[in-house]
Amino acid sequence: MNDLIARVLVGLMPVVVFLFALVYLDSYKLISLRRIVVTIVLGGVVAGASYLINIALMSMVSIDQVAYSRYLAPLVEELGKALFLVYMIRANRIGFLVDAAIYGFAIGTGFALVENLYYINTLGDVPFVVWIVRGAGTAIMHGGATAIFGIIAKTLSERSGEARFVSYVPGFAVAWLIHSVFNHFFLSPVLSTLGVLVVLPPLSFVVFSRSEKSLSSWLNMGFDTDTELLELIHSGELATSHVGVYLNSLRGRFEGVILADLLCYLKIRTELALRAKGLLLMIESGFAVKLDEETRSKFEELRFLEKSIGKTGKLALAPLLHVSGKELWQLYMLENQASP
Amino acid sequence: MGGSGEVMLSGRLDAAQTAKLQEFLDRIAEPKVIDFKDLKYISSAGLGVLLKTQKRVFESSGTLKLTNVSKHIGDVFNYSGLDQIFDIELVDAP
Repeated sequence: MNDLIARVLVGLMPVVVFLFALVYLDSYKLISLRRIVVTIVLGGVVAGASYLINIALMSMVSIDQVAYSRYLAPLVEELGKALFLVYMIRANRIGFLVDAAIYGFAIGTGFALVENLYYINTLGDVPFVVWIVRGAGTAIMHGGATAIFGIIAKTLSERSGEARFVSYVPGFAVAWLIHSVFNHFFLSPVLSTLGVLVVLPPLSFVVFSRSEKSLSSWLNMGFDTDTELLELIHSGELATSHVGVYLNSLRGRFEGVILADLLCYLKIRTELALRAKGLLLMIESGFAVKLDEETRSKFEELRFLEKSIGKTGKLALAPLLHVSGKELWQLYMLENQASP
Repeated sequence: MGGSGEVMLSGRLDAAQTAKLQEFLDRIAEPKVIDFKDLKYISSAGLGVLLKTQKRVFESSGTLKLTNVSKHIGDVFNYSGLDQIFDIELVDAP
């Protein structure tokens, strides 16, 4: 019984501790505990699906088990974990590198927990070092590889301005390579485990520092831009400004009511963008934030206006609004905070 | 500093000025009032300094009052939600 408890603790705890250390290090803590738990569960589901796919693939391809575990299993498993992050990036659910790292590590954690539980249940009497390698090596490698995929994919999709398929390839190749190299156990399983433990903490530190710098610089620039636009809208001099001239040029293309909604949409989106940045400033300074009813109702109004102006209206406003991933993410983040 | 111990801000409170202001505010044990009368502009970096100071003042059960805030700067506080954190007195308030 004591042996089982020790196996469970060593096999499962290190990756969970590492994940929560990452969450703790994040100054903004924008990913709720609930989301982290859901992501871990999804990781477990991916592990189950990968197991079934691996069994099916092994019966289809003529390759020995060692080679399969070195090349094809990492491909299947990293692809499964990466798909979740691809969805999150494409849906603008990830604002910064640190979020990509945490979501990536969380899905890897779920995967590793289910995988290790499976092995605890099926492997018989094996030396205790196996559980050390599986818990501190394989499990953390699972989290780390997907976190690295997330970091590279997020960086490249930001750089290209849109989340294109090609943005995900280099990150996926690196994640697959890490997983494959780990499974080769070139030196020894214990040394591979030590390698994971030596490389990941400083890498996490670099990512967190870069991410916080990037957030701070985006926050500063965006806050000023939003403030200027809002000041212009409220100044009474909108008609003569470049924004007013542009809106005026749309007269022939939209009905009067829709034009009015375009202006309302521009105003409310900018107000919400500024609110989101204010929220980040408050979190950064250590204030517990509660969003008011007014912000919630603004989101309802935004949805109504989105329907009213349609896709064409949103496209028409694109030159005036920032539609980068971070700008869309901040609205998602704010709406989540505003949810009762 | 003003005659009643209030901190007087003037000009532009942007990223270039924030380190100086933070250092100045950190030297005051418990700042109570910051006068915005001559402040023309405040950026997010400036707001960050005020938030950090407010956090420190809150911890010693005090609060920071911002007085003579122009309508434009008041709007910035309002739309960003920071009006919930500070006691704000607009310049044209009766």
